[in-house]
Amino acid sequence: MTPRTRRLLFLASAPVLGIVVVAGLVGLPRFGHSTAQYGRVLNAVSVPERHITDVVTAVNFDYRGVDTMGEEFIFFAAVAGVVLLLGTQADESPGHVEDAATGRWVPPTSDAVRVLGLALVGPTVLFAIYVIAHGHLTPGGGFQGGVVLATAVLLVYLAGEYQHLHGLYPDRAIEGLEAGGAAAYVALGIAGLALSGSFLANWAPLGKLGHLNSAGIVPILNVVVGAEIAAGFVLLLSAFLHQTLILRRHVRPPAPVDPHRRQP
Amino acid sequence: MVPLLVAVAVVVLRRHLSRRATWMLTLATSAAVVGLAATLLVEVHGGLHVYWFGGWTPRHGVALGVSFTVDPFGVLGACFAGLLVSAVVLVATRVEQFGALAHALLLVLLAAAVGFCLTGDLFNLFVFFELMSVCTIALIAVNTSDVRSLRGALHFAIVNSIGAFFVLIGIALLYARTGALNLAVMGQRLAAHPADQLVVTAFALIVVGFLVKAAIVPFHFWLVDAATAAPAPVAMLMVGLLDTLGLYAIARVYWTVFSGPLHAHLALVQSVLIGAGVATAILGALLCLVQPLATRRLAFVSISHSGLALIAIGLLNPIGLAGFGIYACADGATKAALFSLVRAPRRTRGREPGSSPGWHGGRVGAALVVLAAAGLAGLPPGGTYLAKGLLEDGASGWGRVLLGGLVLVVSALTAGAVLHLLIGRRAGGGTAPAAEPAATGRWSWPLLAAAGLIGGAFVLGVVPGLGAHSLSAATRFEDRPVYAGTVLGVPRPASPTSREVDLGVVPALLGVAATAAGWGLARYRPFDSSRDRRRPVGAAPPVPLRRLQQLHRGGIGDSAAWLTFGTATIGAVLALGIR
Repeated sequence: MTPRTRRLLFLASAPVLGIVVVAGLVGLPRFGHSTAQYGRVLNAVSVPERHITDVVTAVNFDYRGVDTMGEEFIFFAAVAGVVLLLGTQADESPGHVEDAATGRWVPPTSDAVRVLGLALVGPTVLFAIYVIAHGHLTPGGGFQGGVVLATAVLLVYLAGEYQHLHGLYPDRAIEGLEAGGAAAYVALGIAGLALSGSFLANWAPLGKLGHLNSAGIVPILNVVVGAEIAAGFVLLLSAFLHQTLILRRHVRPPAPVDPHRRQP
Repeated sequence: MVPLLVAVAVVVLRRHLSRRATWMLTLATSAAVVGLAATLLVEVHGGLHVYWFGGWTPRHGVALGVSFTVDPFGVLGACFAGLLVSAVVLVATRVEQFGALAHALLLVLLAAAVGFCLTGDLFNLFVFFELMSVCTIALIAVNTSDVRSLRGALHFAIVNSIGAFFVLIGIALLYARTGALNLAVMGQRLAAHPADQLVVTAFALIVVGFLVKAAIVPFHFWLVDAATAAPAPVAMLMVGLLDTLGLYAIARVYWTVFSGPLHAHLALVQSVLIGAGVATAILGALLCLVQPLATRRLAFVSISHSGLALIAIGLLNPIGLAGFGIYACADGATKAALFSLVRAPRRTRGREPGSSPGWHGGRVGAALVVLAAAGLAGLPPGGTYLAKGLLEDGASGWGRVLLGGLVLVVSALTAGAVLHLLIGRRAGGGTAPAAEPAATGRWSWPLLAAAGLIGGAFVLGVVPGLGAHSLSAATRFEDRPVYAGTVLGVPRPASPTSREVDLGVVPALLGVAATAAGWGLARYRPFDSSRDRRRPVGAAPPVPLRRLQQLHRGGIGDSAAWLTFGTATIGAVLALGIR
């Protein structure tokens, strides 16, 4: 198919599809006139029954916890896939990669970035822990907090060098943390099966409404998810950096470097 | 049912194992899934089991949590997924790149497939759908040093993501209308009103999303690319499992959610589904004849047979659905086995093409290919024979005659294309299969797996009473009030259904005829493009076929354009018809 016919096909059918979708959207209930019983029932039920103040978290981790388990495994599979695809291939080996575009001027990391980056690491970690730990009280939770936590590691990279980053954590431990986070979710589900009679049912004491240790297993699940997400993002980061900075292909011999060219 | 997920997730952890231990462990897990699913099948026999995660049983008709709603069809799907993954693990012993991570992904995929089959919640269905896609993307590209496989993975990722978006929009529309995500509750709420545009749009989008996964025309381009590029075990998954599950989801969603409001427009929905199925069956059958590349040819065979399976669902009656259940298992297993048998073309240049046989396993492999082709054609007593008999039984009047003719032609063409893989190579100056070096091993694990799959497909046809069981399960599958009643805790008695399945002699004759015709076709190869490899591909077939073939040379952009076109067409036809 030539680009022209492809465009024609698309342009002819896209408006029709648009009309079908818009005509469907017209049938939605008007803004503010939700017919959703589900939300009403949950708002009435979740606070007294679960001692939880963030109903969204209650839906994600308690009422529909098995969906979240699926989402967590989507993340797990995506990270495993990236690590699999970016891993050392047969035709690659670790070594120092020559800069392909020699002669360009690479600005050194400025002092401002170094200072600010390092100064932000501590607060970022603290904030991440807060977001994870208060997921059942205020908006937040394991997914969001985990990403924030991984940002701290990224800040170390920004402020320093890849070598610093690599010395910061052992790869094995991070991998273990990621897989452990995914497995722990399932394990908590089985604990529910064993202690309360059904998968992912609550078995921890509900605590006092609004306190840090309330809402049963929801905060535990949040911690577990937070660990998995943070470790997963760190793995992603290091897989990409490893690929671009460390590995080189044998296919192409390194370009000959002109000794007379001015090096930065 | 929960131990299924557990078993898988536990194994995911064990990444630091030797290669041998990894695949043994993976195999043990998938075998355990098969065992558990079989136990479950016995347990749910004749009924519907509902399991609420977290113990959140519905209150006042509102489903608070997520339920697994387990019926015989779903368990059959889970059982089939386990069997197929077991076979895939065995075949993967041959593929070097299949390391521990790939096995872990395979197990996650299996868990997702099982969840997909058992779930009773629309959003949960979507979550497992996505999980399967994510695993598949990485598995297609597992051989990263090959650009084609990266391209195939990208194609799969883009097209299937668009499909997933469609499903998600559809779910959002339905949630806004019904305020529920449980299939049973949604169906109950929707049944209270006649179908309007919102319901129609949601139905069209959801159906298209799953048709993409099932590689139905015109959403099939990704399968051609991906199945050609992917390593054999992954291609097995795509043609055996993913397309079957896509079609299963259409049947599930239609019968639990949409059958209320859309029942008044039964004929229209039927004609849309059957139309897409017929187009797919014919296009796949024609194009598989002119593909010189073995894996590409098998991809079209697979597409063609998915079309037949869609027709079975599109009949929208219990007999067709029963046929689909058996057909999906028997045919899916056979197609997957073929992918494991056929050797991917080596990319070493300078060797004379055809100097090694196009399949694995020497004579035994060749015999298996012949058996598989017979299975595809529906030779009695194969499982596909039983299924096709049911399929034809599901139509009536002239439709029955036409359908019988279509099944005959499509079966003959695809079986011929498969058989031709053997004959064409032998006649093309290649060495006889006996000259295959013995080093590959006569009865290697992959060969055993293929034999098991093909044999299993034939055994399905002779299990006594399978047709009747399948029919009663299908009748219950389509009974929305009973489904909703059971889920919401107000059980209603199911209408008793006991009907003997008597296929008569016609399907048997058709099966034999199709096999014979396929054999004849393979011998005389009217459209043979592999006889002379220097001739540009597609020079032999007549002009219309060549045009069609050229359509499949495009990239991802073409695929997306066709996706838009197909969705617009299905949406517009449904909208105009119901207005």
